[in-house]
Formats: sequence, structure tokens, C-alpha cells
Amino acid sequence: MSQDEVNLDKKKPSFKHLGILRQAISKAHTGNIRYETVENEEIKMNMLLGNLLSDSMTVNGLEKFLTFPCMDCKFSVECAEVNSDDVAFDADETLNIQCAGEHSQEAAPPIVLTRVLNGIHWEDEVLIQLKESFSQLPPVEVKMVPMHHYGYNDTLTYLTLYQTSLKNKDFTLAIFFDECPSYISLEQQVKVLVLGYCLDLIKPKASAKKVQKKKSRRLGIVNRILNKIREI
Amino acid sequence: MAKDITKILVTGPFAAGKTTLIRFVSSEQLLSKDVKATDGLARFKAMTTVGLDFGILHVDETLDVHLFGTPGQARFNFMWKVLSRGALGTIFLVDSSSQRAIDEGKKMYQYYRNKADTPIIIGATHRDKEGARDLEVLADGLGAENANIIPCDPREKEDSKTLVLALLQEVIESDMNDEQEELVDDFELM
Repeated sequence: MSQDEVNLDKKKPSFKHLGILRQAISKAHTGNIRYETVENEEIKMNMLLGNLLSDSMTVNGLEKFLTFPCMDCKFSVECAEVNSDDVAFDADETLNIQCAGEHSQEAAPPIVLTRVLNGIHWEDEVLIQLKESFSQLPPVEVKMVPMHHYGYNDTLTYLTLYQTSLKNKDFTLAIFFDECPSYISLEQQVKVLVLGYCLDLIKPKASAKKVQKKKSRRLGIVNRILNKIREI
Repeated sequence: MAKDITKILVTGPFAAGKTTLIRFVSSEQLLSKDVKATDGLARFKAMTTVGLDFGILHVDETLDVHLFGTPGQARFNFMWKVLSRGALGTIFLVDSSSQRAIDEGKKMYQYYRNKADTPIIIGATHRDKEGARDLEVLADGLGAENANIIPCDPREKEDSKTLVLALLQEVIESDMNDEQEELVDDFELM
């Protein structure tokens, strides 16, 4: 079992902790994420192969995890080795384990995350902070997925994010906030960003060097067509 | 200098908006023969395309994209295989308000999914009509549960562009997926 511990910036409350969840989901961790608040309240969320479980401790913890910025918090991600025959998981045995594909590495829809996110409400001040945080991220790419599988109830806003990303060559989330239609509230905008960020559907745009390295002739052609279509 | 030519296929059942999409995206449209529908489909659409739609998008001095639209009627299915050969990808349009179109589309979609080894993006059209299916229901109806479906109105130029952009993004992702990218440490919220 390995353990990663991250100490966040003590000076300013932030949402850096969402990055921990993102890493745990993307790397298909099994184990738990521990979140200790300034009030010494410990929040623990259980994961199996990158999927948050649906036990009440995890669900309640996740709700707080997503709702509040943090200051002087510690996180630890305990990672257990998992093989296909024997899922080593040290969480409560009564947990309702939700994982698709017989413990396979195939990603199950992140329904716990989406279910909790559906019910989240942020104070205005927190919303502004999240908006500023997302706005400062470097240019990103947005991945399209069949969001209806995930149980997320605002697929339209995610689709708007995706479509806006397609139309802008150097797309940043600040552009999304600027161009988002007024009928989509700031909270809706922020929610899809939290969802996309945590699920690694919003990624930093591949660096020019990396693209160059990978660029096949076909990719070069596709990029030229992309730029042309954007100009039409 | 010789021009590179690549191909994008626009397909889907009858009356989905294929001709309209190609018109918006092409620099020039060379072929589109609309005639009066004569079979059982006539009650759904007065004019329909026979043969194929064909448009050219001039990208730059050395690159053209040929856009081929397959005829929507099942009796022209012998053309599907020919047209899909060598395509960069396929835009699959379906009238999401018509059960007939969805049933017909299922056969076509499965054909392209199984036979054409290229990315496919599905455009759900006629969203403004009564009875337009939810995307989840449409995905089930097409047997395309894991596909990306984008609601669109090909009569809107921006929607047509979005579908092509989404397809191209799929092409890029399918080419880049061979290497798992490491998460970037500095991609952190403040």
C-alpha cells in the first residue's frame, strides 16, 4: 500500500484539493481520500478503481469536499494494489461497492460524483472564487463523452462548454465564462467545470512540442481543416 | 504542387439534413440532385436527394476536403461501402423525432460502426419537433450507447460547423489515444 500526502497552501483558502480527487479518479486509485478541515473535522471518501463509492460517509464527505474551499488541510490518498481476482480494499465491509465490469479497469460511470454535484449549491462568494480559479487555468481541451450515462442532469451546459471549446483555437475557461449564454447560470457553468476537471475531461491543451512530436501527416491535415472550419 | 485530398462522409437516414450540412460547410457544392420523392417516403418529404451530395471545402492551396453525402434511402445502401472507403470520419445525422428514421438509422449506424474503421459523430436533428427523443433514448434506439451525440440543426451554420469540428476532434483523439498522457501537475486550481 502506498500513501501520497499533500499539504496545501496554508495562506489562502482554495480549491486545489479538487486536483487530488482528479488524480485519484484518473489514476484509478483504490483506497480513500482523507480531508482534514481547519476545524479538525476529518472527511474520508472511499474509492474503488477510481470510482467513489456510495456509502453515506463518502457521499456526505464528497458534498463538503466539493462545496467548500479549504485552508491548511491535509490529504492522503492510500493506494492499494488491485488485481482482477482479489480486490484489496480496506474500507468498511458494509459499503455498497459500485464498479462496472467485474473489477476490471474499465471505467464505470462516475454516478456518485454526478449525483452529489447535481445537488450542490455554492454561496456567491465561493462561486466567484471558483470562477476566478478556473479562469486562470491555461488553454484547455474538452473531451466529449455521452454525459447522459453519468446521470448528470445538465448535459446542455456541458455540451455548450464542449461546443465553445471546439470553436476557439486557444480555448481557455475564461472564454467559456465570457461566451456562455446568459440563460446558463454561473452555478451551472461552474458545476460542469468542476465535473469536467475532476473527471479529467478538461485537460491542459497539449503543448506545441508534444503535438509536434506526435504529429503525423494525418494530424497535420486534420488541424489545418479544423482551423479552416473555424474561419468559415 | 499536387493537392492533398481527404474525405468526410455525411450519412444517415432520409430527411436528416445531410444536404444542408454539406451546403454550409463546402466552398463549392458540385452535386446535389433533388427530385420529387416517389416512394412511401413522399409523405414525409417532398424532395429528396438521389445519387449523392458532393461538396468541396478548399482548406488552402494544398488541401481540399471532399464531403460526400450518401443518399438516405435504404435502396442505395450499396453505395455506403464505396463511399466510406478511406474517409477521415463520418458524420451521422438522424431525425430524432421520427421512429422510422431511428429504426432505419440503427441499421446504417451499425453498418458504419462495424465496417468503417473511422470515427463517427452523431448529430441529432429535428430537435424542435414534437416527439424529439431524449439523447439517451436516441442512443438506445440506434444501438449507439457509447457514442457521442450532439443535438443540432443543420439549417444553422454554426451547428453544421460544430459537427465537423467535433468529428475532427474525434479523429485527433483517436490518433492521440495510443499514449496515455500524464496528468499535468501545474493544472491546479487556485
